[in-house]
Amino acid sequence: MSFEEKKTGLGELLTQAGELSFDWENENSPGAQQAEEVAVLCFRVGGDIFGLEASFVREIIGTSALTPLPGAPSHIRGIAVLRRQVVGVLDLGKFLGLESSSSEAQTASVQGLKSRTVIVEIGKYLAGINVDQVDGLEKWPRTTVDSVDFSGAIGKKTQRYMSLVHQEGDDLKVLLDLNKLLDDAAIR
Amino acid sequence: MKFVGESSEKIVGGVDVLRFRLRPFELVVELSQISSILSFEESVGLRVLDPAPFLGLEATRSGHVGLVEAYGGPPMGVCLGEVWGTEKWVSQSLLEMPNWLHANLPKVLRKGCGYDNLRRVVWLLDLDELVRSSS
Repeated sequence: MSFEEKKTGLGELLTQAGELSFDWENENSPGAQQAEEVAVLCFRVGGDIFGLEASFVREIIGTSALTPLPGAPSHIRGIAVLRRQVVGVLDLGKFLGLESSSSEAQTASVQGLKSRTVIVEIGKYLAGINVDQVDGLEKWPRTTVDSVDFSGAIGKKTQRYMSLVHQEGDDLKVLLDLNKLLDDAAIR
Repeated sequence: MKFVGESSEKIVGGVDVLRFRLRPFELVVELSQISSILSFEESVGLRVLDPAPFLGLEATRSGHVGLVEAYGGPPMGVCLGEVWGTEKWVSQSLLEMPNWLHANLPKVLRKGCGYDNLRRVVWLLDLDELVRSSS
């Protein structure tokens, strides 16, 4: 590689870096878009991968301490009592009409994995969400959702609650709109 | 103490409750509303109210029946499944239910629950509502 090419290459890199710099006046600048990331708690339900904004997650507990709610619809798994606070727990698999999360949970326990209840707090809601397995925290770029692109891969009911989709290899991960999800779950 | 959602004057010293088990669920009813306990077979001739269908359970055909006080008309009983005994409950025994669950609670239960020393959740039967809903 000649000195001239190196110089050109660096010059090009500098130009690209300049384009990436954060433009405080323009939120659509590439730098601004790259900087806008969302911290997400990832988990699995019925074979699908979901996420919740980590800022809404209060804690993660086991599922053994749940008490069934008499006469409740099947998507309400029960209640948990945490430090004298009653928390209603939603069975996300049943609510989204995914593969039975209980059979998934059985498979998970055979594989040495454990189902969990993710306790979330958002606005007027303090609630638990029953999941088959918690994967961990990730950072996703905040991009807009074009639901048409994913219509084949993501169930209709799930599409109603997705606020962002993150693709990683073959995996599609759906960030859930927690407020909308709990608004609907609260209506019998 | 007052039951959640009820606007009575402040109660000092607690409320006596009758604790019972209706299949998977543990419940209480205010003791002052029950005058005596009969077996299911002894309740022939009574108008017997059954909370079970309101709790998503099949109708009760055995166990204990509580004779209900303070309602006019023919003698009335309430299916209690297996009666465990009486307890005194204070306000610390009770927890409020989150608002978003209210619509998912059967109307014959009060919008709260009890929580005992063994960390068991106990549901509060609203006998007035059961009478209303069964008529």
